[in-house]
This record gives sequence, C-alpha cells and structure tokens, in this order.
Amino acid sequence: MNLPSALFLAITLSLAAVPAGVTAATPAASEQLQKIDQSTWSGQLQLVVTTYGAASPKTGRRDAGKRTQATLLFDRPDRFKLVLDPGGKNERRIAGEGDIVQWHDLATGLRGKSLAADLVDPTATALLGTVAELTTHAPAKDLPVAKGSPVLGARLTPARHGAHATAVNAWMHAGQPAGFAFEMADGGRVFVAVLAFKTNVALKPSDFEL
Amino acid sequence: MNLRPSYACLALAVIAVTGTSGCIIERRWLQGWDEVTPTLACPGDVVAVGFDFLGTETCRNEEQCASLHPTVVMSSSAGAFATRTVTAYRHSFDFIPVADETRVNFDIDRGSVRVPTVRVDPEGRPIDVVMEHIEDIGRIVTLVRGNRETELVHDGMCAGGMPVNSPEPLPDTRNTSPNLRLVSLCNRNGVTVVATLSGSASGETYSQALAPNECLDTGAPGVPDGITTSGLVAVRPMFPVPGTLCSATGPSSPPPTLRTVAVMACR
Repeated sequence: MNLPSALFLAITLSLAAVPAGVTAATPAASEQLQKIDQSTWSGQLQLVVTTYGAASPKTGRRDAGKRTQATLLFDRPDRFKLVLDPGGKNERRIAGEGDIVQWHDLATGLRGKSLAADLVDPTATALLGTVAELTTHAPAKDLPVAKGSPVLGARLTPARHGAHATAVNAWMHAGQPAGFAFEMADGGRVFVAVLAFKTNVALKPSDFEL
Repeated sequence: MNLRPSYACLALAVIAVTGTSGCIIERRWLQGWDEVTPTLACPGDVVAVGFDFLGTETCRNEEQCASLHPTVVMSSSAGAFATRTVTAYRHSFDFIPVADETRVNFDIDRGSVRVPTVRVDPEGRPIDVVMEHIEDIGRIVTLVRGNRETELVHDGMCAGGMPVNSPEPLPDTRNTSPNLRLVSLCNRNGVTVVATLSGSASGETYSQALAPNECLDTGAPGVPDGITTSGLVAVRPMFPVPGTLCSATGPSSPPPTLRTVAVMACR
C-alpha cells in the first residue's frame, strides 16, 4: 500500500468508530455513519487491510491482493497514528499532527517528514478536521442489500478534487462498522476489515509519537 | 491549459478571509467538473456531455459573471461530435457514439473558477465561490457489444461474531447504460457458494447455490424476469471455511476473499 492510500485510510476511518449508545441495525447505513461522524472525537481500531492493483485490461481480473494487519489511533481535528504490520517484519508507522506527517519504516530504518497537504487525501483531511460534515465531503447513498443480510451498506462518493478514492462502500452491522471497500482513482481496490474498536478514548500527545 | 492572472478575490481565496474587494471567499474543491453519462453505453444510447460550475448558485451580477466565465473546449476522438468552444459557467449537449471507444476531452483555460453569488454572510457581505485545482479532463465512452465481464471481489470481514463477505455493487448505474442487463453470474471460487442478487428495478431478490465455475443464468426458468436489473451481488460459502474466526470480544480472522464474475450485455 502506498503512503497516500495508507493515509487516506487512516483519516477516513475516523468514521469507523461507534459511540456508546448507538444501537442496532434499524437505521440505514448512511444514517449510522452520520451518527458516528457527529459524536466521535477519538478512536482506536484494529484492522486488516487488503490492497489490490487495478484489474487487468485484458482479462478484467484483479491480482490476489496483499493482506496487512494495522492499528489506527486518531484524535480529531488533526492527529492520527497508523501502524501497518504492527510487530511484523514490515512494520511501518505513520503519524500526522497539524500540517506535518512523519513516517518510520522499521525494516529499513528510514524516516521521513512531509507536509500533510502533499500526502494526505483531501477528503481525509476534511473528514478528520470537521465533525458532522460527512455528507458534505462524501455524500452517501444506501446500497440495496437483500432482506436478512447481516450487513447494511452505504456508498460514499468523496466530493473533493484530488481524492485518491473515487467511491467507498461502507458496511455496517448492528450499528457498528464491519468493513470499507475503497475504489481508488488508479483503478486499485483497498478493503479494510474492522476487527476491533474503541471510541472517544482518552489520548495523550505521546500516543501519537513514532 | 493556460492559466490567467488571478483577480483580487482569487488571491484572497488562499487565506479565505474578507478582502479589499469586500467579498467573502468560499473555497470549493471538485472531484470532477465535467459530466459524461453514460460512459458504458449501449448501441443507440444518447450520451450527455457537459460541465457545470454554477450548481445551485445564482449569479449576483450577470455582467460581472460574464467577465469571469471560463472558456472550455470540448472535443472528441474520431469526430464523434464537432468540437465546441464555450465561454460559460455551464453547458451541455448530447451525442450518439458509434465507435467502440470515444474519448471526450475537456480543456479549460484556467485553474480556478470564481462565481459571485447572490448569497451573503451574516454581516451582509456578498459571498463569492471559488473552485480551485481545476484541470483538463479526458473521459472514455465505451460501447458495449456482446458480453462484458466484470470481476467482483468479495472481501472477508466480521459482522460481530459472524463471518461475512462484502456484497459488491454491479457497475455504477450513473455511468452505465439503462439498457445494460445482467446475463449471468459465475462462481470463480474453489468452493460452492450461495449467491444473492438484490436491488433490481422490480425490488425482487434471488438466491442460488453455485458450484465452482457454475454460472447463474438470469434467463433460466424459475429466475424472476426483473433480476437482470439487479444492483448488488452478495455471496457466502455454502459451508464454513476453516481458519475463519470472528469473535465480538476476542481476536478475529476474517474469512478469505471470494470472487464472482458478472456478465452483462445490452438488451
């Protein structure tokens, strides 16, 4: 997964935390997402991220995909820390605060620092920084799941020029996020399965250090 | 694309505050400023081409707005339509594609577009909308002849304690011809799956078990007629997959990815 994609996921997943009191499945997926957006200030998530390249123009098929464990910590309006392959051979830490994003590749020891505007998806920046404006930055439409489906879905279309994702399908179960499928502008696909989460957790500045 | 010199309000857009011209700048970013619909077309379909920088806004002063109109050149490959040069906030027209692929180009003469609106802020100051980072755009209109295959990737996730594979939408209806229909859905996995089609125009849902490489034929007896307009495909393995663990409280390992292939054709 390239860095812009990783960072896009990091911020967009600020949606992926559920506040206490949001109850089960009656509301449509888009309403559930809006409630989350309106009441979530910070979160801690465990994820499995699968990335695919663009489909072959000849066969229309995608590659086998690459699966990576990840953890995400965020604190609105402008702090996050994403760790890819935590504890593994390819651990990579990415932290953002304000206008600056830093990263550290533990396998190679390389470190870097960049302006967030150069690396972070503009939709992601907007979603992280503005509570309760989900549908402004990414209008949502509910997906027509069959009766009895264990998940409800909403399709979000980022409305920001330069967004790395052209569409996001969000899947919810009992008021909680289960997964997000990102259709990327380069034809790639990123799928994020949400395995665990805590919302509105107490965080301190050192939690966001590399 | 040529860039024109910025105007007073445009310069102030960077800091988004009141400027010497007395207007308030509201910055907007656009995912795309063009419209080409559908991009996946059937023979005989009318394709709409256009652009719109005005949206729901109303111009405050026609004369001032006219001086700020962008100039957009719309052209096509293989002469699908005559090149048009338009100076306006919005414009649209139709054409009927005949080539297998038609490229539609939008070339704009500036990188940002300013619209003086009739809206005012709470202090009564007029609001100007500025759309930035605008670039030239090229779209491809593909004419579907025969069958068109699309692979759907159904990733594994956990819905609480239940393993689930992500349902996948069939090609976005906004960019797909209304005359395109689902012909069949094929199981490309090494296991038997149950496929469910939903979101059809008639509201019907249909499920069928599919062995490896077996296809669901939407024209087969017993399959509802309207199912060819389905919008969503869900699949699940017929039997539990070893190694999958979904727990609402403990560690989880989502199920493996499943794949289907949707075959669509014009009707």
